[in-house]
Amino acid sequence: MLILFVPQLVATGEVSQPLQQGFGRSFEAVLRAESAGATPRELSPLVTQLNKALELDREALALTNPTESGQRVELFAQVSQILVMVQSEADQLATASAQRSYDSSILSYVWGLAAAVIGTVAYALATPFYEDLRVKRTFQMKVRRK
Amino acid sequence: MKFRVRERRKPLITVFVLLVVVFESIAFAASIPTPSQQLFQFYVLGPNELAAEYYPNSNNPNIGVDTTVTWYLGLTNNMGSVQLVAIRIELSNATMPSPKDAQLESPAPVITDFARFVQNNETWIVPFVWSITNSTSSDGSTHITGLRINNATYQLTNWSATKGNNFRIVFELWTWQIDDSAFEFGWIGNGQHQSAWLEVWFNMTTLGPIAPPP
Repeated sequence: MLILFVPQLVATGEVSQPLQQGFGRSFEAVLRAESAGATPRELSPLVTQLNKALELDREALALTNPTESGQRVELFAQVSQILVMVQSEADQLATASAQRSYDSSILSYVWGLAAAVIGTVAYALATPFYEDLRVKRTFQMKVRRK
Repeated sequence: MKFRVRERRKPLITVFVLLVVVFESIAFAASIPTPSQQLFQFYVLGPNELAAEYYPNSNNPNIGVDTTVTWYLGLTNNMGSVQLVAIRIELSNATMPSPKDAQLESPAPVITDFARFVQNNETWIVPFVWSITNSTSSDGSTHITGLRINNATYQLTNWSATKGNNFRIVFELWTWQIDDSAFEFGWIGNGQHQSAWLEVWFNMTTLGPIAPPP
């Protein structure tokens, strides 16, 4: 399957070249989804499909007999179909993940603001208690003559 | 008790601003991914998936024709993202240089390769079952002319070693580089080029299968 990415070693360069670009584009789309915040569980089906495409590609390249050319073309067609599907799903996942990451970061900043408000209210409520306590203690002090 | 907010406006604003700075800093720090060392773990194990008994017949490194050897190649991706990796298999001998640690792959010809997309923190185990199917001997050199790897047979030319000693099977780790749209030996991790390769030595001193120990 590595041969797929080395056109000069491939007998049917006209088939492998678009596939090479297809693998590259699909891989880039998956990486974009991952960097946008897609989880390993979300990426797992896409990676499984890409590995299936690699397997089919390897099978196709192993079919060197001229009588198997039909089967070979069919396998390459399946690989192309998988790559297009993976790219499409990865693009959708990237969009959804980016939106989710944005929402999550906005929410965390809102929580930070809410925590600051709660802290300020707590400070405002605690300060009079502390001052009252201090006044009480002052009046409870015993003065002794030395 | 009275809430004298008006009297305490300044300290309250100061406290609020301080708390906003602290909590928003925490939220910002939590949103930044922590940098980690980017690397691959690459290893070869024996038939019991242990780092032992790499050779059949009482761990004897002399491999005969049709002697089946089973190893497991292991690869763990700790790069922080999905990677497209390829393990290149090469047959080398004592006179061919090993891959250089930094960037240079072995000059030994490639027999085959295994490629796969590996997720972050995923381990890929590849069974590597091989045997020598054909060999010839001439001028004190042993030539391996046929090799079977995972049920695929490869015809080889010009793979020889003096008296059949010190053949090496070399495993190189290659990764797909998006920028170059090509596989490259090693990987770029934390801004540096790194590489991983393995080699296992064996002798091909017996023409014919080695009898198993009684």
